[in-house]
Amino acid sequence: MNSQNEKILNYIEGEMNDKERAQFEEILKNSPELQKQLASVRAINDEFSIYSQPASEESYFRNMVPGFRSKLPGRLKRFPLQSVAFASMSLVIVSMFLFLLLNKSDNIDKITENLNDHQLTELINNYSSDKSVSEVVSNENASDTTIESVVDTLYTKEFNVAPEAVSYYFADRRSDLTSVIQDINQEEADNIYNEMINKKYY
Amino acid sequence: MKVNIEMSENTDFELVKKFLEGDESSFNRIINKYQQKIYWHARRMTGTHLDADEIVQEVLIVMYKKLKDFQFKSSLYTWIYKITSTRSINFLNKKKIKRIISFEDANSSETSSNEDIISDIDTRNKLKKLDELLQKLPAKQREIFIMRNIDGLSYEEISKIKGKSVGGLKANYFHAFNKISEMMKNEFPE
Repeated sequence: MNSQNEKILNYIEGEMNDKERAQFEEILKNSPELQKQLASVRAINDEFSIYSQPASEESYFRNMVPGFRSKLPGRLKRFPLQSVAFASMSLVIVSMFLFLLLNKSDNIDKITENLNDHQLTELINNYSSDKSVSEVVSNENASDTTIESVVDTLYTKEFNVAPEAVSYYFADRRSDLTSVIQDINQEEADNIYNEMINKKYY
Repeated sequence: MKVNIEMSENTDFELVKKFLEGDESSFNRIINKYQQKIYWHARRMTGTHLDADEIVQEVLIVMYKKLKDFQFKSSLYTWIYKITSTRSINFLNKKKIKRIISFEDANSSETSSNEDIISDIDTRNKLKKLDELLQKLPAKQREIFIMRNIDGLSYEEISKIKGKSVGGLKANYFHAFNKISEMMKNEFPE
């Protein structure tokens, strides 16, 4: 049966040479069984012929190209400008960062190099938001009493205490502080000031 | 016939050449030309529209990526058929593994979707019966049967696509045909 199918298929599909074909047809004429098998094989082929090109919705095939284009991964979309734009943006950001970094200290030096002490003090007064500091700076030549009031103000602001309580906390130290201020030189004063402004007291 | 094939190959050559030169519309034309063959092969192999659609998308992406490597050592049709065949077999293997892992019944996923591009109910029912028969064949025999019996490819063409000897392909085809014949006898007894 199976080997007959093989011969029948070869016959139907034109895989036999002339001699084989003639022999097969001779047997076929005289064999009702083979004729039946041939009809059976042809019936199978006919059944499957419907699958060779079945009627289907054309819209599916019409939409195949747009569908494929929309699903195409980004990197396959052949758009090199994306990488160019990214590289350009990165370059601009790095350039800006370097420009600011290199010019930061130069700008301050350029602004202050031609100023005398008085102008520099005014500049600090104008641009400082810390009033207590500007008060101290502007009163650098004031009397001891003035210094005491400025120091009181500093205590009030730095230690966050009420003005009337300053004398309670710092009365004993005030005279010591005045003598210390008078005795220290400029370099020591700078060091103390730097330590004060860098330290958090509360 | 021979002239037609040569003209077709010449056109394919021009389309591929234009695409490689940056003409995207040439690729669209290649898709339009071969989309039905890709879809129906995948559809016959998997038996469902949704699975076939998934394979079609994969095949088109592979074609788009790999077309630059196409050397015209075979016809474009053979090359596309080879991609479709490989993708279909891979898809079926993946599906089989998924089914084993999830302890899923072999028939449950195949009957879960009614989405189809065949609107005629008679045709749809006939194809469903044929699909059920085809799905009972081992994937490799099913593929040879589809290529030879439904697509009408010669053994030489199938040999180029599958890289197998003509003798081996014939043996596989006869096995497949005999199994289909037995199943049809049981399905539609006289």
